[in-house]
Amino acid sequence: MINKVIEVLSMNNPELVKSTVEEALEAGLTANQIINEGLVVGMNGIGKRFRAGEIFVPEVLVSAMGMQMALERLKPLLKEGENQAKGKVIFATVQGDIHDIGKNLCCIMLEGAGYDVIDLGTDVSKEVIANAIQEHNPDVVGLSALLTTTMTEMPVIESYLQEVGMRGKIKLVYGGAPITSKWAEDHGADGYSEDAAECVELVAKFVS
Amino acid sequence: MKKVMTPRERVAATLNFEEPDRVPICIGSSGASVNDAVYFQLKEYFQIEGDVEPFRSGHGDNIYDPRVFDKLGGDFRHVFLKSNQDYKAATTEDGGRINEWGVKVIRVGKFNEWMSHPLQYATLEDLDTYAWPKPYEGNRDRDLKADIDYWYKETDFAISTRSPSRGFWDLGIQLRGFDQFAMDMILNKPFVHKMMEKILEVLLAYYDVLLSTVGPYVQIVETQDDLAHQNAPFMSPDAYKEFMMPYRKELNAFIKSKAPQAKIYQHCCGSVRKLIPYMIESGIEVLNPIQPLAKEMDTGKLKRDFGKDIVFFGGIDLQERLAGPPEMVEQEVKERIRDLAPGGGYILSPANVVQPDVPIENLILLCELAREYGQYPLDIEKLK
Ligand code: B12
Repeated sequence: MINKVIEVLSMNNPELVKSTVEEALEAGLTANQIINEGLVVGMNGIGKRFRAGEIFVPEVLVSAMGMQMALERLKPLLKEGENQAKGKVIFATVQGDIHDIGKNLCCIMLEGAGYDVIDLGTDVSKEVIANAIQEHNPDVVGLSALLTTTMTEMPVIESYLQEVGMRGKIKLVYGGAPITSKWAEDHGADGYSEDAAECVELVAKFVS
Repeated sequence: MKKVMTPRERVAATLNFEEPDRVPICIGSSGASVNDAVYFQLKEYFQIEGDVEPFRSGHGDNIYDPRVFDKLGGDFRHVFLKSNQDYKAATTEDGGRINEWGVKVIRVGKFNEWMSHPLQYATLEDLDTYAWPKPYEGNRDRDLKADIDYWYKETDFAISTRSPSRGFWDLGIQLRGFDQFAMDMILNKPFVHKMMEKILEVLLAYYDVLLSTVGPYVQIVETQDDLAHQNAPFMSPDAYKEFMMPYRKELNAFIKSKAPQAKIYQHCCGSVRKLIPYMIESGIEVLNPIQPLAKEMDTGKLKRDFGKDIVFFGGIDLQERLAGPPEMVEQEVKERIRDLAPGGGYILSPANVVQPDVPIENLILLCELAREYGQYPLDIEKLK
């Protein structure tokens, strides 16, 4: 049964995900099992196939929608203590930059993997990021930039967070088309990933 | 001594997959212009006096000044539609204004960006009543006749149009919202088709206005549609064939009917390789901008696999190399010419609008080196 949940996520049919989840519940699986052994595993596979170029953005988004619908049904059924997010992540596209497609995909995959995600949107200033850290106390902060003229904002944010004494409280990760792992490392990041699937692995490394 | 060609002859040869006297260079096309800040630095550097009126506002590049492009050594002149002179934009509380597509435009940093998604919750019927732009209104072809008469008869520049509008997918994701439109391709196919039909109608009208005046005189007609990101196309090749290609074919056929001698150019950023065969099938003859650092965009392989069927236009990386040290710029010029120029079929330009992180010295150097290394017959040893 659990394999069916995993498979159905990639069938481009959110309604089918919903009905399969009902079947799984009737067959006696717990909500926790369906989420963690089914949906999260399935979404992970989706991320990998996206990275490999086997599926494209529309397929990822439709799978994520199926996952979302299933979670709405399952979350109220979770028992005390089971409903805890794996960790908290803040995401933002840096100031001057409005590219958000990649950032949104990362947020979707992280939510799919069981994290609490706070998305600050695009064109976000360092002050807004600092305030959000203050308010939400996240484990990881992800910054996205798609332009060579705005990626320079990342180290600026990094030193600002040092200045206001917040840098030590969080792990800072960078991403976006012009960024490389070397550049991120040289400019104050704790981590970098090339795509949304890897982003989940990266965050997992810092949260566990 | 080999014969020095005129820019128009040079571009004609390369578009026909013949080797001209040297690789043509383009600065100023829709996909290879310079950001306004870069333009003003160049203008000062070349000590050019007197301002030209911006041809539009609210983009990164709003000024078309051939005096500057000529100093760099470009081979092209571009003709294009101007904005609708009768359009009165409504304003929004947050300081935005509504453009002709019904999208809210807001200032972000140096750019005015398209922000809202007016068709996000629309139904099929809403598409019929939506206030689509009216390309025949607003005197958009003002000055066009005078420009083309002059450039065509009095000069020997190669002539290209600029793109009068964003493309099918660009507009689809803007009007509908990216996530919704992408998911529509799987969950709401009739909506996507109807949206594409509506957008096609508007695009046909834009090209009708543009090409009714300049059609017989241009060598290239530009179109655009950003179908890919750094690592892949946004949609699968099957989805491209299903949702984009039929409308693309109609647009391309219309352009050919108005400008039979011209080649059709498409600007499409990113890792587009998986779609190239179908773009060719749809009638695209010139591909821009060839982003060499995007996945699967190895220029040597592209030339080998598609170089007989499509002309490559662009290729000079902006994500790392053009803003780098001079040696890096030189290496970039050599690599692109070595990979893309053999046998003609290559027009060199930066792989997008040049951004302010590129020192103007690099841009000037780029054009000098392109003239030096771009001489045919190519000296392959020197290009290593
Ligand atoms: C779509 C697009 C746009 C759209 C954006 C729509 C939107 N809402 O996002 C529009 C049309 C608005 C746009 C505008 C511009 N763009 Co643009 N755009 C693109 C394009 C084609 C695709 C970007 C994209 O959506 N990718 C899809 C996602 C899935 O990929 P991704 O963003 O890379 O994200 C993945 C990874 O990077 C990673 N990731 C992303 N963020 C993060 C964060 C973290 C923490 C981690 C771990 C991982 C991670 O995971 C993601 C999922 O796998 C790229 C081409 C390209 N090669 O990338 C150009 C591109 C980025 N744009 C470019 C330019 C120049 C511009 C403009 C300046 C053009 C102009 N007006 O002059 C403006 C600037 C706007 C602004 N102020 O930001 C250039 C940048 C060149 C440079 N020097 O850097 C590019 C590279 C195109 C090119 N040919 O050179 N653009």
